[in-house]
Amino acid sequence: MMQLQDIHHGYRQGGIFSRSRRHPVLQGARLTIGTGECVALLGRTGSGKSTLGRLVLGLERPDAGRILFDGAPLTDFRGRMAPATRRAIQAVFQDPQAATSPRFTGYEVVAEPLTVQGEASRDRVAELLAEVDLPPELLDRPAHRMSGGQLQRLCIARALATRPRLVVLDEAVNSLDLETQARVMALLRRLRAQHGMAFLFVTHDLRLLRGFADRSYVMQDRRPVEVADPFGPGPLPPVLQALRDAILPEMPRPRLPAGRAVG
Amino acid sequence: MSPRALSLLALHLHDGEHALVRDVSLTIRRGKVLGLVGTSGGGKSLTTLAILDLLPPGVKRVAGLVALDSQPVEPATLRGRIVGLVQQAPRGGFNPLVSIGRHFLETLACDGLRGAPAWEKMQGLLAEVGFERPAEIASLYPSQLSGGMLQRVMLALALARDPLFLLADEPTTDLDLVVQARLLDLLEALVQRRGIGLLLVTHDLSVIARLADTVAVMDQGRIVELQSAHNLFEDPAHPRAQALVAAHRALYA
Repeated sequence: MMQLQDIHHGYRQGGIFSRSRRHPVLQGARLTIGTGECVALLGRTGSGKSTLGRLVLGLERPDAGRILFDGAPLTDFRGRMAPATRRAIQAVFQDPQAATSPRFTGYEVVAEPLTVQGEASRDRVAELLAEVDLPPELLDRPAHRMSGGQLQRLCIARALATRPRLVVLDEAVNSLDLETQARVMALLRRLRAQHGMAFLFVTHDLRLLRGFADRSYVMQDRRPVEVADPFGPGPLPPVLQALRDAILPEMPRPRLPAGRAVG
Repeated sequence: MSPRALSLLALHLHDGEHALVRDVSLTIRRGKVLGLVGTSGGGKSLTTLAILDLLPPGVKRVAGLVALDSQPVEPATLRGRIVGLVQQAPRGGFNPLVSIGRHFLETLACDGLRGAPAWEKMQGLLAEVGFERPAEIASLYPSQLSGGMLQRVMLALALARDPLFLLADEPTTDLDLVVQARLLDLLEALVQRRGIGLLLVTHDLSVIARLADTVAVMDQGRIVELQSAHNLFEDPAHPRAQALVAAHRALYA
């Protein structure tokens, strides 16, 4: 459904007047997402995984390389997406507070993508809220009076509003507390089972992949490298090995009794 | 003699409509790590900010005392010298128009440290939090550093006035696993080397498992459980603590 072919992309470094060259973020990146597939993209901070997500969303155009959606270029020569494609690809980002206007009510947040098409109705929005386990009372509550978990579910409802075929989840559960995180992950799993949409699940937290992703890539040297089993025995790309080694202990280790002099 | 313990006694916070924090008491001991965990919105951050009287507008401390070795103190007087603060989302804590070095010079000037000695102290602090070329960092602006680097700079700033206690509110939440592991190693070293008393606020029990000696579990503004880290993981008593441990264990299943 989605294919990234030999993508090169970079950003300018320094101020507007500095003459430094573009800083390469992606070099020869390839990635495919099949229909209904959940593809994980792992990586360290600054490894280019969010940039790749932005390219998939058509928010940026690559410096070089091709992005195909259903076999056709994602954007036209002016960088614009066909309306149907725009509706088919949605996103949920890490910080729900930053992704919603605090003055909007729950209804306004979710209805926004629908008003463009003149399809917004309270019934449809209430239906979407129900899908993400939010009570109808939130329709009229301003966003700034919702918890982080409620807001993130609201963002998921907004992403679902156009019945997308691909949702980019960019660290979408990382700012949530543990229990909320577990509930949102369960919700995502259920929504995918119901609607059969594809996910591009971008994260640095390896632990979230288990039982969630069909295929996994890890960002290594500015390109995604596919890994058959991120939890299996090696050999693994060095970045993945480092991420695995950095997983914190599940249980406290027995500690030496403190006998240190302080003060 | 320098104080050995920082206590918060019977803190009550109110926003005019609701009680936000109810009867919270905590003691942070030098050389030890006290974890404060719970779901977001449970009052962890407000409790932390109340220790330094940094509550956001609209939130009132209706009762509660802060004490050093059981001597009541004015919370605002603890800032910087006695208690350092590290917050989540480091970018908001910096002035984007001012270089990292200037941030340090301003803080160090509070103790009358200027010029070359201040510059030297800053380099030492930046080296302590793991920067190999501190002088380069000092000349950069906040927007030129990654989140993990800024988080370490914020820690170095919090240490600038040699505090005896450190309050760290979700210090690793926005960092990737590798940077997180490094920062936690660093905090552990500070507790051991400097004998700092650390309050570690987090929603991530793996951070607690890594570092905390004692853990307080907070829910809806109250502390519902307070026990050793080992016992919390082995035998959580309160239903909220049990749910938290269960959600954590599921990540490793």
